[in-house]
Amino acid sequence: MSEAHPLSPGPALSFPQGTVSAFHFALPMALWSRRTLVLGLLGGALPLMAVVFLTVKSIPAAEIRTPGYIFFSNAFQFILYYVLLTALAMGTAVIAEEIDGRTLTYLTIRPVPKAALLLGKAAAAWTTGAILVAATVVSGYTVFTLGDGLLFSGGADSFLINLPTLGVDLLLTLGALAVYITVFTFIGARFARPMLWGITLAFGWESWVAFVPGLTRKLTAMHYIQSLSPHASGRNAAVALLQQGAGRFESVVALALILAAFALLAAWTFSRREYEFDLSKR
Amino acid sequence: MSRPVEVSEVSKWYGQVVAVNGMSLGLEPGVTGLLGPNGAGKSTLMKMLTGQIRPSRGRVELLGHVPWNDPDLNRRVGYCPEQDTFYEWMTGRRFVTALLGLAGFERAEARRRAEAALAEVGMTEVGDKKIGGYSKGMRQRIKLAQAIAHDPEVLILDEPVSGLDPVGRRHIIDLVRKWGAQGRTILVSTHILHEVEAMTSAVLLIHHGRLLAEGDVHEIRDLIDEHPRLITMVTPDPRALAARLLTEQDVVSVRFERGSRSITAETVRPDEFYRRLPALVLQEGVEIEEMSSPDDNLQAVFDYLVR
Repeated sequence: MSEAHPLSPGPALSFPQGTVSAFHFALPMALWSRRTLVLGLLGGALPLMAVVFLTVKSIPAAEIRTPGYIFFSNAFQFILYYVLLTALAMGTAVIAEEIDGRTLTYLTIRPVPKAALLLGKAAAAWTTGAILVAATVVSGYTVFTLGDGLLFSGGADSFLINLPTLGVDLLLTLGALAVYITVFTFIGARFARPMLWGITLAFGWESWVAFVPGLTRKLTAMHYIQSLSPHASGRNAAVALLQQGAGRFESVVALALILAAFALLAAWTFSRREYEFDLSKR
Repeated sequence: MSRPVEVSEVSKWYGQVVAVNGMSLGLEPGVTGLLGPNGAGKSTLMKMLTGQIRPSRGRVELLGHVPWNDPDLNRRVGYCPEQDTFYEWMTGRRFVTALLGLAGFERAEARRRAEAALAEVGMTEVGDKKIGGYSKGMRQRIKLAQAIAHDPEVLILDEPVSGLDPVGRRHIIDLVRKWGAQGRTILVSTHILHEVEAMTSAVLLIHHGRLLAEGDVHEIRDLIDEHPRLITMVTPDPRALAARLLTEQDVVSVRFERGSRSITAETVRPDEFYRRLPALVLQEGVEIEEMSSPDDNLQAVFDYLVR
């Protein structure tokens, strides 16, 4: 502590430096939270499903001849909902958690632009979510394919043969996570009771409208994610005849636009809003 | 040269509620007390000064800059908010270090500054305890540590001694005076006149969002001192404390709070009362865990002043 002038204030931060500072600040909090633990346990359901699948398959009377990697393709629907849930929990918390805990003031009185603060925190949320989603996808795929190949004849090579598909799945799920976290970050920054809004969007709009034939489904991110998916799975396969997915290029551009638009909206909202009134009302 | 803090014709309203109404003031380097009852607009003014909210009308300037959405200005400003909220699972040391890291300090420098700030507020020993386990006094001190750790020129302290025990209160008051003597510009809010007087002679009196008076605290003290004052204390032995207080001539009554460990004393000479307390604790071993002056107490004083 200095005893006399001149005092020595901290460094001036550019926007990217502020974003990195916010990321480093928020990452340990996001990683070691109760929310992450619960989501991690939930993500463990996929490898658990794989174990159940292998166990049932080992019973001769069950007469299941489907190879593990095909079953994994069907489980991809579960993964997409897991991505939605993870993004919902992580994204809405980026700002709303600080408002609920009344700790936002400690962050907004630092020399970090508010937009950089939001983006850094959202990036930390995505990193944490990405670890969870990647762990679920990779462990599920490994148990389904490798376990199947080791236990039963004829599927030993499926693990290696389908690795490129795993790569595409990972890329797609982590991209989808980024899009949804950005959308839910905006909701958390803009609305009171963001969880309610988020659940409505995730499990109402995104989960149903994406499968309705016509143009409306083009207003959902899920439509473009499904269009990029290499798997024809579950309900998607059942309505495949009625639906026509978007092209690959169109889907990538649409998802990039959704991400950019909601990132800008969230940053703009967070920079303009006077949250102190929200804090004082709680 | 302009003053470090300039507030010109500032109003702030939220819906139908006017929190600050046409306020103009300027602060010189040193400590200035902001005195007013609960709801007077103290916190709203401080939030405008720290860029948390923007004025509905008028202009606020800190060090020549408008604070709303000017993050660079935050390098030179420290803020101790009123709310008693933290990342409860963090240790005090981690809290201060992490916020310094957020402000862009390198890890080693953040640690060095955090240690200095903890030492300054007397928290070095308990820095590795979780904040959730801190006493009220420790929580106030850790809030001050995060406000001072980056060595700001301007300090905005919202009720920094609220709820502290007499010894902790004395310590914080000494710190504020020391920081003021270092040349910082400090605005400190309280609703206890005695606290302001112990820190500075410069005072701003606000009431119902308006600046009621500004100047030397001693000029208004004589007026206010005539008015009886209530002081609430939390103690493990309310009966013993009440018996001890009633031996003092200025204490006219003591009221026990049903089912709690707190008592409320009414004194006609609050100055003497507050001055006596540290000695009571340190020399006679009387235990006082928390102390506060009910808000309606100062409200009554202000009503009396504006009559």
